[in-house]
Amino acid sequence: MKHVWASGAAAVLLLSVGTYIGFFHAPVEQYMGITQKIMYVHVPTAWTALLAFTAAFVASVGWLWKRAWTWDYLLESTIEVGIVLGCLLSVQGALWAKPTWGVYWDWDPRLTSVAVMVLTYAGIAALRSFVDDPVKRATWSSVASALGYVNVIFVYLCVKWLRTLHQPQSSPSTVDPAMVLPLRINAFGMIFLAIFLVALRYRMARARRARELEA
Amino acid sequence: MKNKLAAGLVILAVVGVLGYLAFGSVSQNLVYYWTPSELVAAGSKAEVATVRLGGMVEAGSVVAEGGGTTFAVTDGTERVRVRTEQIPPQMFREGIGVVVEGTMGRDGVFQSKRLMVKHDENYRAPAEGEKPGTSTMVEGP
Amino acid sequence: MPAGVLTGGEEFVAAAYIVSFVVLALFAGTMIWRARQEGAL
Repeated sequence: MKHVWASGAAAVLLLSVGTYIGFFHAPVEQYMGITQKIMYVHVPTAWTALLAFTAAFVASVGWLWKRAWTWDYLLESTIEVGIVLGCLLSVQGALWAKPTWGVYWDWDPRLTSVAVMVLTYAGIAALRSFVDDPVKRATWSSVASALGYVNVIFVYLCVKWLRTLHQPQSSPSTVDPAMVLPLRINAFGMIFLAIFLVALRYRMARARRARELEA
Repeated sequence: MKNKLAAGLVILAVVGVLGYLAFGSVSQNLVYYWTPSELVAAGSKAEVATVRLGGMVEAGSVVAEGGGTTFAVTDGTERVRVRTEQIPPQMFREGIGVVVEGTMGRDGVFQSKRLMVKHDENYRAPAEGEKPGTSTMVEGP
Repeated sequence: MPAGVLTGGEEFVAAAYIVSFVVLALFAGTMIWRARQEGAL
């Protein structure tokens, strides 16, 4: 439990430092101006959301293969965290899009697939609350999550494969080094935050299953 | 318990349909926009329909006139003239990507209903000693 | 004024950060509360 709290503390520290550096030390983008600084919260959110759903995929495979409850706790917790991060991602993106692209939203493959991703996993979470039998619940939601992961991969790669409004991935070769630093710090901050949230939610899932299975 | 299960399946089905519709709205074969070459090649078939056109704002093509802006979108091979009555987003300039939603007119000018800037994956500080935006001095309309 | 430069937009930056940190803080706070409620903490 100590490690869980430490993860949360690391998150607060890193996000504070990263955001501070992003605002007061990183340069202002030559064309995008100050709105570019949304990057330091939006990109870490994106990476962490995709990582959460990737962990959900691992958990679903783990359950289907091993049928050990630990995988179901992980599935339940990573899905919930992924949904919240995914919703937040779309809101951040809309706020960044309006001044830069000129619109809050459009149905390009990137934005559309992110919305589908969030709705899919929200549907899976809803399905879970409707299934009383824990084993059936774990199995069905694992199957659905594993299938849903195909779209998660699409979310990431569609900007490379298809014509989109959202630009392709940036890399250290396309981003000023002084911007890469706060981006990376906040990325680690978000990941530690996700670990903290998943760990707590995992414990909750475990406690719930214990009550269910003894009843 | 059976009702709950049915409700759960309905939710999943709704999500599935939503997903299908959402991808459907991206249009056939997941083509989000046509290039100028494709639009030109489609000829009169492109007229009347509302489509999206994507490409780069051609250098020297931006003109403010008649309360709006005309410019050309190019893919390096073909160009399409575009007219918008909207005030372009601030990042709009020569050489930047745009996605324009609208209709091809019979006069060969694409009438824009919705003009979106597509910026690239580069994020740079201004060059030494310059203020943001002064590195390529292109005066807008 | 040079073309293609985004001036302003501070309100969008503020909104993005405020929404993000508020949502994440609330999510974390309620997660701790829920965990305590369910005997997981």
